[in-house]
Amino acid sequence: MFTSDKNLNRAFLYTSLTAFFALFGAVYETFSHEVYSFFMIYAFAVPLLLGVFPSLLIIQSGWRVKSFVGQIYGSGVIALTLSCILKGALDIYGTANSKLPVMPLLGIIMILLSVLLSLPIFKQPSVSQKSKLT
Amino acid sequence: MKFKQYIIGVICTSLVVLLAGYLVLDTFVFSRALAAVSADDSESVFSTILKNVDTGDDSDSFQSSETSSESDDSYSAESQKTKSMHVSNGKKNKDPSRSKKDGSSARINSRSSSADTASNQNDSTSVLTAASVYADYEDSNVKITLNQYRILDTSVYVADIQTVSAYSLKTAFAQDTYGRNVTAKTSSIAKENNAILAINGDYYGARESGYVIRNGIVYRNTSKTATDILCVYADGTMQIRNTGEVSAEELVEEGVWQAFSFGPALVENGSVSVGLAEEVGKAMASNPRTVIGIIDSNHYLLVVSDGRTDESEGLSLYELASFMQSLGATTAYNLDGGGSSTMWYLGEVINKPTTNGSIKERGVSDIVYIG
Repeated sequence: MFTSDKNLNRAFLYTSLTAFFALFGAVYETFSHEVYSFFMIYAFAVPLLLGVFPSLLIIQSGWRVKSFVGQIYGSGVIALTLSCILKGALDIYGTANSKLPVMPLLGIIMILLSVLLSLPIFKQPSVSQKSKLT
Repeated sequence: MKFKQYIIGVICTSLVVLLAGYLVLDTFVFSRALAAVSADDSESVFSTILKNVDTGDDSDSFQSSETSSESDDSYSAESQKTKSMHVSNGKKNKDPSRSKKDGSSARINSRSSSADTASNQNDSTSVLTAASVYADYEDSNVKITLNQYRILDTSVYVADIQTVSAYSLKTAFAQDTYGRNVTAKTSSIAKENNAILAINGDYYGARESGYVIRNGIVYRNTSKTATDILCVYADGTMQIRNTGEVSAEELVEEGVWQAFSFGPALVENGSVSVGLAEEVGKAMASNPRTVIGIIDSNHYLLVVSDGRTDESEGLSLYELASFMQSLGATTAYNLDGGGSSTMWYLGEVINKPTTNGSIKERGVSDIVYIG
């Protein structure tokens, strides 16, 4: 129950982030004088696809994910989302920064690291399976 | 103890946020600080170059004598020098003329090229290339010379306008209606008002305050903060005024014909008045620019520069201010830029307005035009 509560909390957090970035992008675009950036418009898709859906999948499957792995993964999702927001803001502003790719790279590294760290965990039996064994 | 569970998350998230903050500072603060430190501001970069460049017609009067070089065929493909003297009223004109409502005919020359071939090339190695005369127009009230420059990998269109009266410099609202969120394309507004030449205005509709005086009428007299506005007087002069010192009604009483509230002022009393690192303090600050300026009484400059395209990088405010100064502007003021920047001339948008990554106009609140 504790683990499933954590998963639910994580799913709720990602859903909140998705809603926030969707609203942020919409408001930003409203005041951008018809200057659009797809990065700003679709920034919400990152926490949706990489946060909400995997969380729901984990809840459904009953997988157990270590806390620190989830935190690293979450930081990676935030890094990717913020890089989309920054890219969108710079596009609308009309400028660019050559160092910007460092941010999504960091996000991808964090996500891959968390996936690698979680692989042995995925092979462990879930809480319900453990209780059946005992 | 509970906190220990989240320490890794806090560290990772902090790292991400710090990196985002650094990128923001690097984009908007560090790069400009470096540019400010390294630039030599003792002389405008354009002054030296323009001294050696033959930039075009210096005729002082509409009543100038005819030359024999270019009057026969205004659409000739032959390269011609940009310095040409035109005859008013078209009496000796053999070119196709544009009839005016007042009966006098206007003389139009379009797209004659200068002898300087560099002006026809996108020469990225030169800071500034000479102007090519895009078009000339003249009637009994106004004389327009349209030049195209190539500056710092950016195309800039300069309309040098001499009028008999400041009343020829007019403004119009989108859909002929004053109000916020009322927009239309510069070309549409220009066509509706039978403009000869038009540029986008100050997009007053995007703001809730700032003086709006158009064609001698006060539409908005509020200003949240004391800001610089550009006043075009009926006597043919131009001045930068501050809203904290004078009301909109007082300006009209003083003879202000038009007032614009975008800014900043680029040139005042012949000197550049923006810093190297200055930028428009709006989220939509952008590289395409629109500028209005004056050389002397009833001698105006309407300038539009492209940007955000592969062909044109765009100009900073300081670069634009230096350029306006090199053209002889004693006063110059920045209007709405970005995707709004549009110059329209006799039925054609002559620059490349950029909206959403593609070359197309976007709606604006108002235009400045000659008509």
